[in-house]
Amino acid sequence: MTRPFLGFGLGLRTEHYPYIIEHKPDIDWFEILTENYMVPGGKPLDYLDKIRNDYPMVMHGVSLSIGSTDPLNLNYLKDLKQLMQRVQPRWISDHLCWTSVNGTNSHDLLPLPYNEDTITHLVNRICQVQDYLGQRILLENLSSYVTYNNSEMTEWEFVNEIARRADCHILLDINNIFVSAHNHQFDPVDYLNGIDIDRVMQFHLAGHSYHGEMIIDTHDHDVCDPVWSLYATALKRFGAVSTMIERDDDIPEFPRLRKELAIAEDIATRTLPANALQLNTASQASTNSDRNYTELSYEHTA
Amino acid sequence: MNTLRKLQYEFLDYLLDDSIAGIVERIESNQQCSAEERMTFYGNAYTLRLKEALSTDYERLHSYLGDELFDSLMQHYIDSYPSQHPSLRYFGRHMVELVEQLEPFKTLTEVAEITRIEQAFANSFDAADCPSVSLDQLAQLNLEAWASLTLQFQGAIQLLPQQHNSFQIWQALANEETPPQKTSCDTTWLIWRQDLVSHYRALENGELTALTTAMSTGSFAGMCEAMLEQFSEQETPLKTVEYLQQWINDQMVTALN
Ligand SMILES: [Fe+2]
Repeated sequence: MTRPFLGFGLGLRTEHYPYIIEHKPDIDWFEILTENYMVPGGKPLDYLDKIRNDYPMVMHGVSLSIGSTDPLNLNYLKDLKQLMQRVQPRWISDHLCWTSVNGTNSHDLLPLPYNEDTITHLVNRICQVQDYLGQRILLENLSSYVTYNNSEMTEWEFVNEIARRADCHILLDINNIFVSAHNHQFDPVDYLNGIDIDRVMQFHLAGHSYHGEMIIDTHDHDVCDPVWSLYATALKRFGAVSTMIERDDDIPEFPRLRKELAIAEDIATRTLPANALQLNTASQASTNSDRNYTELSYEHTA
Repeated sequence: MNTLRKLQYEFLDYLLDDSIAGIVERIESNQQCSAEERMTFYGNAYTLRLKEALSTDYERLHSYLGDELFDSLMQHYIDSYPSQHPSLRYFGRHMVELVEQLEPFKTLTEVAEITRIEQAFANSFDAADCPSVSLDQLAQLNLEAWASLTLQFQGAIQLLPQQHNSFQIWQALANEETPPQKTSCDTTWLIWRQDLVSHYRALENGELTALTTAMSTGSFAGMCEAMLEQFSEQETPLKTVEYLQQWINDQMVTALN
């Protein structure tokens, strides 16, 4: 399989709209926060369209609530599909978590127990979502602060098994692995080694904060050295994977974030052979002959 | 599946009501951190995130009330209106309802007005886009077309009847100035969107009648008829055309049929 490789991107944040439009910075792609653009119109969608004209995009959601025991939210899925038609993202992602139950949204990414029942429940719902959207989705591993006593396997076994059975992709958040490894005392490298290489379509990098004995996934700091070195380890295992930095708080000026992203590029250049890092934005062939998803193709117009 | 549902309900009970008894039984404890402490990371994040959303939506209200009062309002809000929408954008939409019911805001009637103003700007900000008609299109109408003319308006338009000088208070807060004393002031304000930017102005009575009728009935004839209650037969046609031209210039009118 040739995995699409978009290169190195950043999360699109409102603070940076004017800079991006004026300077058209040299960056391979942007990840947008899906729910920010699930609005009828006005400036958010206007900025989105303008920036989309110049850059490839992927969509990253937080409210799919794929692990909820409520029925799938069809209105949400409808809005999602509509936004996808507008943005034509290279792919879309959300999280391997639940966010709402009994119609109430926590607006947080809440962890699930890692057991066979949860896997069956999730696989069923992911298949429904993928069928409705007509394409595979990426699901991201969380930072978490609790584990449940009815878990029967490691988180990586859980994530990997779901991806295999639902035939979906994985968005591997390197910082989240680091945070959860610290909070739940496992070896982050075991996590990386437990994930199928071909399932991983994107990496997230981010900063975090210490809070006593625990690490909180705050996205308000630069990426720290141990996460950079875990990123290098991940590159060695997975090869060239589209990489971006998430920054959600204490957001610096765009050029500073761009510089931080250059660190990721530098690590990748030192870790992987040059030909592995050539951008590959071509359509990706379906890996499962039972399903015939047409992945959205995109031509870089910048 | 049933076990998972129960777990999710118990988790939510903790976030909403701080009742930890159910969920804590399911969480692993260790030397590094107890189950109770581990759950507080979720509890704190829940409140913090919702407060952040409300503070962003009601920045001027926050300045008007001050930190302490606004914080207690937010806490009441979070307790009374758990989020029913997948997007945080819509979390704060019941704020007017709450300030109209809850002391001391209930007696401070300008508070609901300021709240409504902030909400109106937010709603106009991301209201649906629509094409606007031009004065040329108006000029091309023939006599028969005028008689049966119907108007459509952009969704971003909002009319805000006020009993106080709340708009002046809001304006001062927006400019980070000391707001004026509250006074009685019976005026309706108009918010609309032009080139993606929200605008506002006070309406005189004639335009208020015209716009209210035109927006509710869509009928130009109906609007003229309502105007006759305030203007003479000679004045009415001039006034109605004057208003209509202004609305078109302001990109408020989206269709002439
Ligand atoms: Fe992430």
